[in-house]
Amino acid sequence: MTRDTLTLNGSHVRLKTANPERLLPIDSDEALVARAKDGDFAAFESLFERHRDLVYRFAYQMAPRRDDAEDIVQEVFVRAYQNIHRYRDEAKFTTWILRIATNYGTDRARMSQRRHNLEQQEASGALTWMTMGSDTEDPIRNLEQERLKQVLRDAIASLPEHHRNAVTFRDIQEMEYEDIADFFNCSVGGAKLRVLRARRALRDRLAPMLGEAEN
Amino acid sequence: MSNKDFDKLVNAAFGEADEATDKAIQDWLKEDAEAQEMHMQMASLKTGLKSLGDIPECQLTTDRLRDAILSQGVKPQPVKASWWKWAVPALTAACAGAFLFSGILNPDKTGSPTDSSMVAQNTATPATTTELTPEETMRELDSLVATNSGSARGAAASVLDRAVQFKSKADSVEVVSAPSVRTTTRRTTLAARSKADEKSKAVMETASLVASNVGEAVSNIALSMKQPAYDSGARMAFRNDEPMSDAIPQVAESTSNKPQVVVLDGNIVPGTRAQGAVEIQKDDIVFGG
Repeated sequence: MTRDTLTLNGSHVRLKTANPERLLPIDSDEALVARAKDGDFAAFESLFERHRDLVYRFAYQMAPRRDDAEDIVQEVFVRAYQNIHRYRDEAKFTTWILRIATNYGTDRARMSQRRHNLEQQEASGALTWMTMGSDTEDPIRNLEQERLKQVLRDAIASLPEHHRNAVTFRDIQEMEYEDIADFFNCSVGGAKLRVLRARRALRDRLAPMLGEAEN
Repeated sequence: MSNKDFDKLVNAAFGEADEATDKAIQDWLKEDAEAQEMHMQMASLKTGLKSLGDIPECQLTTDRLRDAILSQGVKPQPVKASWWKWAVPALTAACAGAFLFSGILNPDKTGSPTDSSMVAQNTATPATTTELTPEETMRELDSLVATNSGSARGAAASVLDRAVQFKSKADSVEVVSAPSVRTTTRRTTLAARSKADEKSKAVMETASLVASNVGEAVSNIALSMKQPAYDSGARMAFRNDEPMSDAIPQVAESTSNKPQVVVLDGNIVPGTRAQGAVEIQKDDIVFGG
């Protein structure tokens, strides 16, 4: 594949890639990536601002603390900048950045979970309620809701990575099946089947946990 | 409950079943309590998963990201200028320089007047040989007289042609210059013209003299050898605007009262570096055996 070239043509950018030459909007992810490859840091900043929340919501599911999730997001984009030259436009930029987040976030999530559990033990649950940032009108209700949320997060974290990602992408971040298929490098039907199996697995994990929570 | 039925319930609970399937499931739920309970659990799971998306707002800024990148030794690289962005101006400058340089080396001789140099308006046919200065003309004519051969006449004609063109060019000079330098150039032109006139006049006189003597000498030889003679009274056509058209020189009448012949010797005059010559009275020369 030839090196990506960038030719400005009015408000569009013509990219010469492995695919036939196509006309792209100048503010598309592909155009920004091409400019970032050429050293335009402002283009990379645009990509960061555009996809920061997506990566953050994904990271937060692995490390349910704002500071930890932001650290994950920061590290993910630093790694993306360091390896921007390796990006190939066969996959979407969102897919590429989420793969980086998946690879890095797993280990970081374990560290964050251990620290979170330690904090919960030390504060006897009160700190959990404060760090969760829930509604303060009914603390008991909020505590119950947060407890259920934690149970749900624990269940998701116990799933295999492909099931965990499928549930997170579709049911938490509400991504389209096309984007999920791009991430898994499969068809839309295959992505739907993956999500369905992940939900079934999650339900199987939740049942005993819900029973323990009620107890 | 089979996996297939369970999958239908899950899709319906998460709102991903088509209209026909959803209606069938609603009818099934009315009749099956277990299916109804399972459908409620999956709907709750959907609600719970969606609530996990309610998270604190991300406060990570671009400045913090930039600092993180720089702290790891990865500096944002400047935008690489495409090669053509510097190559095009350089090529343009090189082409302009080459164009100007070629224009300096090869000024347009027949083109429009753009400078203060003298430009000839001579409409004569361009010479096929190099133009001669008066000094060069005299030297060549002297050598031709010395050779005194049949080809000398043709060579002399060529020499005279070139002298004529030099003179004609000196005569019909036009001043073409910018208005700011017109005066200076005109004076230069006038001076050059008068100087050229003097030189050309001297050349013509010498050329005429030599040509007449050569012609007469040739005539005498011809007469002695009973060969057709040329018209000694023919006049040399020194028209300013036309070169000599005949190959055979037209000899002009001598302006001297006592025709003389210039005989060249093999000696070189140190001062002028020209061949030494002696003027001899015609009457003192005897041709033939």
